[in-house]
Amino acid sequence: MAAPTWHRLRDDRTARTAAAVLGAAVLAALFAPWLAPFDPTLQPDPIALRLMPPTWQHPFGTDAFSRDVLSRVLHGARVSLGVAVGAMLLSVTLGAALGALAAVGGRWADAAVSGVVDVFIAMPRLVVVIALVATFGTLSPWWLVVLIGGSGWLTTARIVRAEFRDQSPREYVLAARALGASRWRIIWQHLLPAVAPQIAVTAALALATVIPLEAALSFVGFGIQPPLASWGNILLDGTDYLTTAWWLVVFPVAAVTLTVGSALVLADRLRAVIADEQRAR
Amino acid sequence: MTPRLLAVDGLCVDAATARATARAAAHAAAPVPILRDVTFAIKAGETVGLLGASGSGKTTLALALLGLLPTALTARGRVLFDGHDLLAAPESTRRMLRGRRLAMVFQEPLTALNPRQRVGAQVAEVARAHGERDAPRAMRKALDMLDRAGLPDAEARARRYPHELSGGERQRVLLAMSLLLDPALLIADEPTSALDVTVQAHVLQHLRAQQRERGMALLLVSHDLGVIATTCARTLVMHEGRIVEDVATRQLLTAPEHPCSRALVDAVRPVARRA
Repeated sequence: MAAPTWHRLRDDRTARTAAAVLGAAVLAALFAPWLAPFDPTLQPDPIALRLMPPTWQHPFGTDAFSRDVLSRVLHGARVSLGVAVGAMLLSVTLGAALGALAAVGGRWADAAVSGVVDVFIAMPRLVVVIALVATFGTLSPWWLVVLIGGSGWLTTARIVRAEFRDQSPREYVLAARALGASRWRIIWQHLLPAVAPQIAVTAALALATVIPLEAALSFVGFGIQPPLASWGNILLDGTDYLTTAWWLVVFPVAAVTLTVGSALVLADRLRAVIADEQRAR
Repeated sequence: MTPRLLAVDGLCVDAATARATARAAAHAAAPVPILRDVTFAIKAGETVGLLGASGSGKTTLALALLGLLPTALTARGRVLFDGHDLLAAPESTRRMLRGRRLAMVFQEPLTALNPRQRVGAQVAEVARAHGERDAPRAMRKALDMLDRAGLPDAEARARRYPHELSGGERQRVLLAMSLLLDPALLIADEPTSALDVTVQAHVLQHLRAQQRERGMALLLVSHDLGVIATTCARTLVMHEGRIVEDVATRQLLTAPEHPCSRALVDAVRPVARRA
């Protein structure tokens, strides 16, 4: 019924496929320096090799500076996925901690956290982040992680708070307290494991939101700055040649779509498994 | 004369505010029972039954003793246990006493166990909650206790989840948890009501054996006079939040005084006569 959540997810073929695609993307990012056939910033011949369509030597073609697009997409994955995973971990951790605090920390903690959530959830995130970036000027990828992660914890906090409140009055929690478990042990041993599958859903969804968010920021010029490649700024470079050099746009978009799509599918399957379990109970 | 282990003096439980009451009532389908001037004592090693119809306040009394009342209910009066005034003591003191000196077994073993944790880990968790830092040692202790609780093939069963065990096995797990740290008083709230009759007999037997072996006091909460009559030397009869009778179980069976007690005794008499 329970830790079995993970076993059931493992047995779900769709979920396994999605996880495999995500895993491949992460591996590609990790091993980009070894996988990429060229240096992503190398401009071998800006005249002769300019805007070459895909060939065996350059499977994704070359860009306006004769750089290899495959190498740029692989290296861009390092930056784009790195920022996305970092921001996701930050926002989910913050959300879980603040949601837990709201649920068990008493009336004032609850009022404070819920109040902040209610106010900020009404603001469009992309606009808030752009406004902040514009205020601070261009930012290093680390600051992007902090900004994007710091603005994304609201949903997780809400869900964790609601789930904690649902689990807290259950008899097994009361029974654990009756045998002397402290508040911290209740949270770590009983409440968090109960909420973990739901947190995983919000994590997958966060990943699916944050990848396009970083791409959008870089695309409008506020995110990752050249010469560092990210999926967003490769796309930005490519839009000038949209009608003449399709490969500049298609490959980075495909990378974003595949990873975001598999994160969404994974979230959806996990949610289905949780729903099945709740029905069975 | 053995010293008194638990002395409850004028314990009242009230619903705090109108709003809180409404919420509590919505939570617990049944109307909230309120305790009125409950006074009794339990000596070390004594077996006491708490008998009463559903809704008479038995479980509220048990939770009040542990300091685990829902927030909508407040307790007044005095509960002296082991030299501590439980209602006045800080939460940290009460937490140290719970599980170590004062333990409770709940009615429904399936919901009282965490569905997401292997049962062995749940037993070991009691030791860890009370400061055992060595995880393997806590687990050995747990396995030993499960074995003594009569769980067949304890080592293999400890790796199962609660829903993979039978009702009787689950109740043995709960007993192992509550007896792990050798408490001086065990409160058992309808420990056998969710089990079928043959399993009930085994669990009661085990409970009695453990109680005698450890010289532990037992407060057995039940609506079932049969269960209490075979287990407890003394019986408290509860009715609408009051203790209406506090007598030796034998005397209750032969000469119940309060109309409530009489009704409860009469209810089982025909069965006894036939047998």
